[in-house]
Amino acid sequence: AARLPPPPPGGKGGGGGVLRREGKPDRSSTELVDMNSAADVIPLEPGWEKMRGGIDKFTAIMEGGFRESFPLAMHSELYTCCYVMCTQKAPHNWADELYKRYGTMYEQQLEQTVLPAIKAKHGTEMLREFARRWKNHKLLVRQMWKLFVYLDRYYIKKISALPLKAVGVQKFEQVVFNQVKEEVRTGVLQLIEKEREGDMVDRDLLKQVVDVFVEIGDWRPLFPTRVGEEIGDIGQARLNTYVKELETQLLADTSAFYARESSSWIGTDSCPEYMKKAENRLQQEVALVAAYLHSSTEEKLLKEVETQLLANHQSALLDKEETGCRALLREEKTDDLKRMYKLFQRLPNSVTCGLQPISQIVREHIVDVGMSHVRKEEAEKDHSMYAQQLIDLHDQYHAMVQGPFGSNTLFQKVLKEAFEVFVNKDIGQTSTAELLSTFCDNIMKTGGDKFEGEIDTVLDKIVMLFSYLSDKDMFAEFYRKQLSKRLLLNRSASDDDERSLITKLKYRCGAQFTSKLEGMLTDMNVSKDSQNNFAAWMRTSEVNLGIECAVTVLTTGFWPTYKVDEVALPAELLRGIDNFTRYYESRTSHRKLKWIHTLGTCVLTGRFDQKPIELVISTYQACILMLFNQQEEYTTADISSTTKLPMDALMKYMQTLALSKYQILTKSPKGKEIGETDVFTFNRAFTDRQRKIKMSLLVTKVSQDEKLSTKQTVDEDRKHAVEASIVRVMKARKTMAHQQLVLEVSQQLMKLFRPDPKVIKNRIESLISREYLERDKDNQGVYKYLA
Amino acid sequence: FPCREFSQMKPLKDLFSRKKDKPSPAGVAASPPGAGGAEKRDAVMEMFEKYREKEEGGPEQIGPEGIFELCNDMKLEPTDVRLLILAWKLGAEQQGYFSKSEWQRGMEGLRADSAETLSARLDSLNRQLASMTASPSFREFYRFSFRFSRQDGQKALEVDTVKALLVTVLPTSHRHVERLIRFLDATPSIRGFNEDQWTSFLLFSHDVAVDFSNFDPDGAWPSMLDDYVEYCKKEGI
Repeated sequence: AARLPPPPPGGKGGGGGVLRREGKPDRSSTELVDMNSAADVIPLEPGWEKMRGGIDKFTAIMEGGFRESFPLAMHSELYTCCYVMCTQKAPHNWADELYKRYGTMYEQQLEQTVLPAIKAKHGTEMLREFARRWKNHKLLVRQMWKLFVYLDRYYIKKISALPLKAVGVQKFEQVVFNQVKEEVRTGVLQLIEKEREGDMVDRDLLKQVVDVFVEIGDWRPLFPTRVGEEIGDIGQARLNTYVKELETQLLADTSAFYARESSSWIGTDSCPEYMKKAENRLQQEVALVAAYLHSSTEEKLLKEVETQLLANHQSALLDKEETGCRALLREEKTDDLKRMYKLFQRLPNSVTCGLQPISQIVREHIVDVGMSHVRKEEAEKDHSMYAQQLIDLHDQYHAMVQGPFGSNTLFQKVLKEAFEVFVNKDIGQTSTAELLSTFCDNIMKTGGDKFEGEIDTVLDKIVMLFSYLSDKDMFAEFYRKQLSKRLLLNRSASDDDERSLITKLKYRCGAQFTSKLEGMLTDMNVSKDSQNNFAAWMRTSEVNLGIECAVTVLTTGFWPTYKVDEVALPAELLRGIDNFTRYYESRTSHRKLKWIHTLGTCVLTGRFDQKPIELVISTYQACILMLFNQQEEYTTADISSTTKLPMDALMKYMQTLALSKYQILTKSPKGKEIGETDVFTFNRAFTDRQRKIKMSLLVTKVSQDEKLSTKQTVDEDRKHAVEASIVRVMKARKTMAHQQLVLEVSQQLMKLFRPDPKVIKNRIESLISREYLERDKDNQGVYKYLA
Repeated sequence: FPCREFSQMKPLKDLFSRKKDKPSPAGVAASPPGAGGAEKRDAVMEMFEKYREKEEGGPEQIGPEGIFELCNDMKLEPTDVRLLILAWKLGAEQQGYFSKSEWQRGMEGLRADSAETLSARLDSLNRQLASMTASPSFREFYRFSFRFSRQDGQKALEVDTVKALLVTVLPTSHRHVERLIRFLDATPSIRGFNEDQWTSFLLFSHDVAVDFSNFDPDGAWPSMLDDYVEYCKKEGI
């Protein structure tokens, strides 16, 4: 706001307040000049001369280097003079004239003194002169404004003219700036280029000069000229000169400069070197802007630099053989990768530019590494290390995504896609699903790999890999089989761990996926309880079996199916079975028990000559050995007919009893082959250091048969799942086109496995022939639901 | 495309010479009064009396022998497609038999009252059908021929019957038929056709170009036809 200067001291005394024009009350003190006496009318020329005096005085002070200040007396005198001249009644009202002459005063002064002075110099000197003259001009304008301020307050609003200060700036622009701007600009840009090339330049000078360009726009109207125009636009409009006269060329120069720079680097520099240079340059430019450019330039300037240094050379840079992106990934140069990420993050994201191409390179790299692991593994015999390798691989690249790539979602996505490619490749005949399951088995079983309390972390990682599998149901089936063995042979190390993994899987895939597994665990717990009850029941029924008998009741459907060989059990076992059946039927109704001896375990005490040894064996082996309580010798054929075991199964069992590590029986004639007439004898002489020997047949390693049967089970289940899905979809939609149906069904089943479109088609045809669906009469490719 | 030996048409011939134990399902219907001169009706019934089964107290129907005689009178082989057309037009429910009501209604619909007129009608119908295999009436006939040829209670038709039927029902130059038969010969695992496959084939034969250029493997064709296309491409035919 304009500060009204105090009225000249000791002015002509006068009466009370005199009303100003427009009827505004007087704010200053009461001593005022009476404006209306004819004798005090100030004529134009003398008045103007007076004003001129002030101007000249100030100019002289300026030229003299401001060694003195503008006299206060003159100040108030001139202010009053102006005031009087503007408030005089017509025809002595000189406001118009004053305003005009105010303007021309500047023009003259600038044209005669300032412009020549600037033009007389060149290069940096000229810039200095230019800056100095502008500074002085601003002071002049300010001082003049103080003197002519009355015009500002009351005159310009009346005729909507430019305010005084604006006039000052405008005149400078018209008279001086427009004449020298070319040379000034060239000078500025040359200095900037010099700085870029490494020389020291006078940054202060540059700032001053650049500020001129910014401030020169200040004479644009201060108030909105159109309804609704915002101050922001004004700000933008005010920078127009700066933008037009300086910035545009600066950006062009910058572009050219960095185009040259980058071309010279790209051929010779390695990727990391280039990136370091680019990073430095970007930092330099930021400093540059901060030092002497307008802040609004920063974004545009950096964009030019980024385009020239990074965008234009992105593929050449990243594809460099020895040092490019792929090499950096191979050699795990995390710092360089981090730099790469930070730099290219600045670029706008597109298929050819910015982070996307990098993420694709990363994807390819991970797939390559993964596939090489797959191929190497295929040449191996023992695949037990593969799952751990996958885990390690995943850890490695996960860390890379979290670290240098800042957990960017683009890279997370790419990691997932890459793993999905090779995790789903089979290793020869074995699927990764199976290997993962076996790995879990190793962790879960007693005597398996120990992880020292980090089991939960390992399980999390397994579940992560599991999530990449497309054949999740295959994993579930293998897992189920192995879990079953662990539980029934009491090889599970920790119930908590089992539950933990199942919960994690449930979280991933839903309750239905893990329902069977959970059912199995529940069965085990229920069986423990029922065991106690059975013992109690036997006591109350006063039954003494003479042996300890523990029964586990399995719910069909949860557990895998096992082949049961027909066998004639020894009397003791039969008694146990009988009693349990009676007990069970007393507790439940409508349930039938089917006995699976394949998984049973027996503990027999062998009374050998040296010492009795406990043998932990399968039920079938026990049946065979118990025979030797009746007689010392048997032929193979005898054993077969007595136990009713089929010959091929029997061979297996005899092998383990007579021809492997622990030879409980002896065979004659000696030799590896077992003939039907070979004679087996109880080996009294057998002994071992241990008191208890485990000889169980069941191995947790997945056999070829099991692989096949698992695949068959899974295929069957899938057929049912596909059918169920088709029916579900059709029931809801009533009618649907073929392609759409295939798509919807695939999507529904995605979580478990990837359905083969051929299988889906096959099931559709089956449903048509069973009259669940029909084809639309008019459109062969559309199906209708038959209720 | 060489003409098939009639001896290979055995299955079709069997259809009409098989003697069934089951009585004809069609009952004796009173002659409906109505349009058509009494004369015409009489001529029709005369024909019926001529060819019907002569057993005492037996059902009122024309049996296999009668049909054989009729064929002779019309100078047709029993395996001729025109006989199938006749069965279709009569709405015959059982192979080898025409019930009284079927005969009456059907013959009146055909506006035939003698062997000559019937023969002429069947000829013209045959030519009509052969010329417009894409028409709805042909489709109807085509479907009928499948259902009619089925054994009782069966959903599918044996592959040999299918082959013979295809050749009978479709004009000799009809696309895909020859190659399909070759495919069926080469694929012993295909034991028969269900109705869906049968009807789809007709549509297929019209929609799909001879060089399979517009065949969409992801389309809704029964998978058997997908296999057929693959076979042809592999064999280069």
